[in-house]
Order: sequence, then C-alpha cells, then structure tokens
Amino acid sequence: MNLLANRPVFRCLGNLLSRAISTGAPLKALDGEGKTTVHILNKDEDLGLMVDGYSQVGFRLNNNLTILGPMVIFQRSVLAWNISGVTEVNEDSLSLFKVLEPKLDIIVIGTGDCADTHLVYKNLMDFSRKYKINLEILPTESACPTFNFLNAEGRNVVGALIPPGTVRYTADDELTSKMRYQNVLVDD
Amino acid sequence: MGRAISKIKHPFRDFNVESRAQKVISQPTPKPAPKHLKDALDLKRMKEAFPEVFEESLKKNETLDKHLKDVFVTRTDVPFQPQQPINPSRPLPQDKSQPEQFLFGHKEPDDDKIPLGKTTLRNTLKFISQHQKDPTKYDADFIAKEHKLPKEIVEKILLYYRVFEMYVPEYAEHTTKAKFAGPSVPKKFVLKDVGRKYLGPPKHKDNT
Repeated sequence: MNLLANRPVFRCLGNLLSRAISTGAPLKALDGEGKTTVHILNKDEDLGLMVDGYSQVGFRLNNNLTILGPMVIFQRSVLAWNISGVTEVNEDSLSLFKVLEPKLDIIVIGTGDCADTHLVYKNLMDFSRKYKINLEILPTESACPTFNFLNAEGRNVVGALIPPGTVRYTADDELTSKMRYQNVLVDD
Repeated sequence: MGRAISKIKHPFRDFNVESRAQKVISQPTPKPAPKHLKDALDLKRMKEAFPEVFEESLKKNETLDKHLKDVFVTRTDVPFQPQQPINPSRPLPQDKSQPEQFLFGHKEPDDDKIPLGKTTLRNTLKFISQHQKDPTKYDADFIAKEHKLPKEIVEKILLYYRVFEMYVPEYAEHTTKAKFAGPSVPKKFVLKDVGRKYLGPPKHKDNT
C-alpha cells in the first residue's frame, strides 16, 4: 500500500467528460429500459486515439498506454514532444506541422497549468497566420477533452499537450488509478 | 420551502417583470452582455499587440461579399421520377458495410502528389524512428535530401520529436494492463520510479 502512496493519480476523463448522451425519448430521458443510451467516446476504438486521463508525469490513452512527458497526439498515432515546458512552445517546436500534408485542421495546445494563454497565443500568432493553421490554446485540463471531441468528429486534429503540474482529482480517480496496479479488495 | 426562502431573499425579483422585460427587448439595438473579466482583458491585450489585424477584422471584405451576393438558389420543377426497374444483369450494390478506416485516420496523398517541401505523417514517423536507430546514417542532411524537405526544418523536427520506447513493468505483466511509453532516449530514473521492490533484481541492465 505504502509503495503506491506516491504513485501519481491520473485524473480520469473517460468516465466524466468525454461522453455524449443520446436519448431515445427526448422528453423523458429515463423512460424505462432501453430508452436511454450512454455512448462513451473513449471506448469506441473506431474513433481513434484519445486521452483517457492525465497526471503530472504524463497521459493515459485509450489503448491502455501511459505516455510519459509531453506528447504530440495525432488521430491514430502519437509522438513524444521533447520540450521542457510551456516557455518552449514556439514556432521551432511546432515545426513538424509546417510540413505535414494533408494540412491540419486545428492544433490543440495544452499549456499545462498555464491558465493565462495570452502570451503563448501572442508568440504563435504569426505562425498561425503564416501557415494558415488554426490554434486552440487551452490549459491541459480542458485541452484533453477538446482534442477527444475533435478527433471523434473525424477532423484532422493534433493535440500538443504538456502534463500539468497540479492535478485536481476525486476519490474516484484515486481508486481507479489504484485498481490498475493492484487488487484493492485483497489485503497484502 | 425553497420557493419561500427564495421569495424572502429576492422580494422584488418578479416585480413588474413583464414590462421590464418588454422594455429591454424593445430596444432598437440590443445591448451586448458584458464580457467575462478574462475575456475582456484578453481582447484588450490582443488589440494592443495586433492593432492592424483588429483593424482588418472590422473592414468589410469586398470580394467575399460579392461572392456571397452572386450565389443564387433556383428551383425548376422536376417531375417525380419513378424508381428504376432492377436490371438483373447490372445488380445494385448490396454491401452496406463501412469503408475501411485509414491507418492514420485521414486520406494520405499518393507519393507522387506530395508537394515539394512537404511530407506525410507516415514518412515523418519513418524518418524519426530511422534517425533514432542510426543517427549517423540517417542524419538531417540525408533525410532532407530523401524527403525533399528544408534541412533546418528537419533538424528541428529531429530535435523536438521522438518516437517512444515501451516500458512494461514485470510485476504488472500478469495482473494489470499497465504499459508505459517514454521518449526513446532512455532516462535511468524512469524504471527506478516504478519501484525496485516490485521489479525484483534487475535482469537486463540495458533494459533501461
């Protein structure tokens, strides 16, 4: 138990944010059996790669892979992004997107904890206008679900995400993280 | 109960509500709601940083406006066409299955259709992993020539992007699905972090 104490807790997106609810009967959502369906985007493998959770060390994807450090996530592939922090997000570190064909629809940049994205935006404004690439600059917390939704819609989207320094998590997230590594019902 | 408390808390909320609402909606030009403090601040700073872009956004784009005015929808009465009789020698398609997904999620251009100085994601992943396996043979010069890319961009791509190496903790192999992927230049602290006790004695030292 103690060994797991300092394991990072992954904030889960799969069960909380990235879901779309479609109801058979719009007026009464809970109108008996089979009338309401919940469709969790992250569990649909046809929709591509998505972010299930994030922590201080990295991201968990919906193919059960934990990515360590900042990453660049494409529709169905992922690359490590070798930068130290939000200060290094500039035209150079985004240079891959200048040469990609077909052209990207949008880049979602997750700035970690940095909530005031104005400076990042100011640095990248010329890049965005010169190469005609749309940018969405958000704290990582909201960049992950934004990427998931855009990817589910089938857009040519790229998420350039930096792990946040602080993570707000619930008891449910803590339990889910623990259950990945051990059987919590058995006392060891 | 809630209603009663609400009534006490906001005694005048519903007072003369209809005429007040009427007064607001009958204004000739509606007054926009105030912006959120952060949005207002962002807008102000953007205006200061990029005044010419802001100016441009206020102007009317004549060409686009003309395009819009040139679009017309016309309708000519088309008589109802009855369904074509099924021709047994030319059967209609019966297969309603979805087309197969693309490997990278989007349609890639053919190799001879890629514009000069551009490349596909497939090629990018290929040359990044080639470079990491053999950095002397596949250096920036070689890749720039092979894929017809500017050399300085290739250098930056090789600097800032890495493919992953897999770390599968031994203790977890049978109990959980935990798999870790880290940038492919290994760092020693990664495996230590997982917990030596679980891993047991290190069998392969080059496994890090």
